[in-house]
Amino acid sequence: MEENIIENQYLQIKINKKGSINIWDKVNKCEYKDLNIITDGADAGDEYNYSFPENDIIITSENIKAEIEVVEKSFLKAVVKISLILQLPESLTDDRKNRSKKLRDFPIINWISLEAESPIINFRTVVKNTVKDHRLRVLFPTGIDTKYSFAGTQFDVTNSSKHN
Amino acid sequence: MFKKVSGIINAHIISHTHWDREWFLNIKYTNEWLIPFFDSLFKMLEKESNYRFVLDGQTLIVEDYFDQLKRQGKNSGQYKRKLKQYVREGRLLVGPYYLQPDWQLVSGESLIRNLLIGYKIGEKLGGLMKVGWLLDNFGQISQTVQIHKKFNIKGLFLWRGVEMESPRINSEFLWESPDGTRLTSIYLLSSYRNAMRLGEYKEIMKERIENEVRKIYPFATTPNVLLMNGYDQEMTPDDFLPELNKLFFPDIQVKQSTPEEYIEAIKKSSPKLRVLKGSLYSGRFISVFPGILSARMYLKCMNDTCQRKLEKYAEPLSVISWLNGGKYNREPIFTNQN
Repeated sequence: MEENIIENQYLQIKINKKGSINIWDKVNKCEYKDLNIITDGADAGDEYNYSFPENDIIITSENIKAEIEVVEKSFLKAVVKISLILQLPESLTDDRKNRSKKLRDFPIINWISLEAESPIINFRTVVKNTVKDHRLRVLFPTGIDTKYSFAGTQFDVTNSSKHN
Repeated sequence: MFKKVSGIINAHIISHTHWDREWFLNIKYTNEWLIPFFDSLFKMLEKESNYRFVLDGQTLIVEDYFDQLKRQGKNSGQYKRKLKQYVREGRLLVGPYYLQPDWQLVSGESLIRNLLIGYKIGEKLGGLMKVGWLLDNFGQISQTVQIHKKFNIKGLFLWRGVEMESPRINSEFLWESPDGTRLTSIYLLSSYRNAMRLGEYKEIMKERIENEVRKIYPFATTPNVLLMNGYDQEMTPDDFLPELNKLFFPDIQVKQSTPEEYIEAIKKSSPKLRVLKGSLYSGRFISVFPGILSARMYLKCMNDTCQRKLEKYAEPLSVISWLNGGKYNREPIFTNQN
């Protein structure tokens, strides 16, 4: 393990300053860039449905400087702790059309670990949910352009259109 | 535009309650309603000697009721005997499920066990209903048909998730699982409450029935239409039979029916049914609320953890123990998957 890089025979993971990661897949010889970007928008829906508000503001971890710390480093396993704080609107406005101007700290901690003989990256994410009326997502762009995807379900693998 | 079947229309009234054990309230509250509910149910069954009622496709409502009797220090024996008598007579319809899970959110194993346990309890109570009762599920998984068919289920009733191309929309279809298994399925295009509380508003009962039949008959593939006489947490079975017996409909024959009789009536007409394949998640005709799949994630994560521990650890260990002469505990299912 070098500075901000975890590596084994399958993968090379580079941890970027903003807390996202780039992965070099040694088996399939392809690279994934900027995985683990956090993005947050308002949710003006109800207990059943998500709905965007009339005027949304999307806040991401794109321009954040994360705190990166190696918490475990051995022949068996490497664990990196990535801490960042987003500034998120505390709620929707009273008319539920806009995001509040008042911001609060929204801390997110990610522990990313890779075991020596494994092609699997483990993520453990802890957030302190300090604000209301929002939808927090984490993005893993694959760069694959497709109209459908397969998903595991009870006793089946289903093919579904990505717009469904 | 629609095929007209000449002659009499058979309108089947199915009386039921859809018992959301833990949806808008938890069991602390809903279970308290069970004694008054069953009291009014027994009263109706005594008053009307041909009255039949569907207990929401599950057996847990009965188990909770017995438990509630015990908690309140009532003589549960007489109520249990009464209930079993009605189940044996086919007037109270229980099962086939143990509980009403969200099929999308629990594991395949849980779905199988739900039916296994439902069958076991249903048989003990005096027999169970052999139709799938998916009245309010928020979308339908692709293997629903195969799972039901393996339990010898005769047909399915479902609502949300179904989509057909207008104008060829029918209230009956053949639903096919990925392995090709098919079951006759009833699409509740006018919901599971289209004839709720008929008896409560006697003065408009005739008009309501005629209007509803006129509305849904154009979609029927046979001379049969379905009037669902119940709703969520309905506490009092609808006392509509005395008034219905006084009414005359020139071209509709209205009677109280059961889900099994309805499926039989459909099959008897041998309609040519369209085939729908795989999962049904369309929100075009009625919402399927995909947002709820990620609501209260802590509950979903906990359910997943528990399922894994039971299926992948406790059960295999239990089997190993049984092979070595120990005890096998065969009921790993959670009542709160409801």
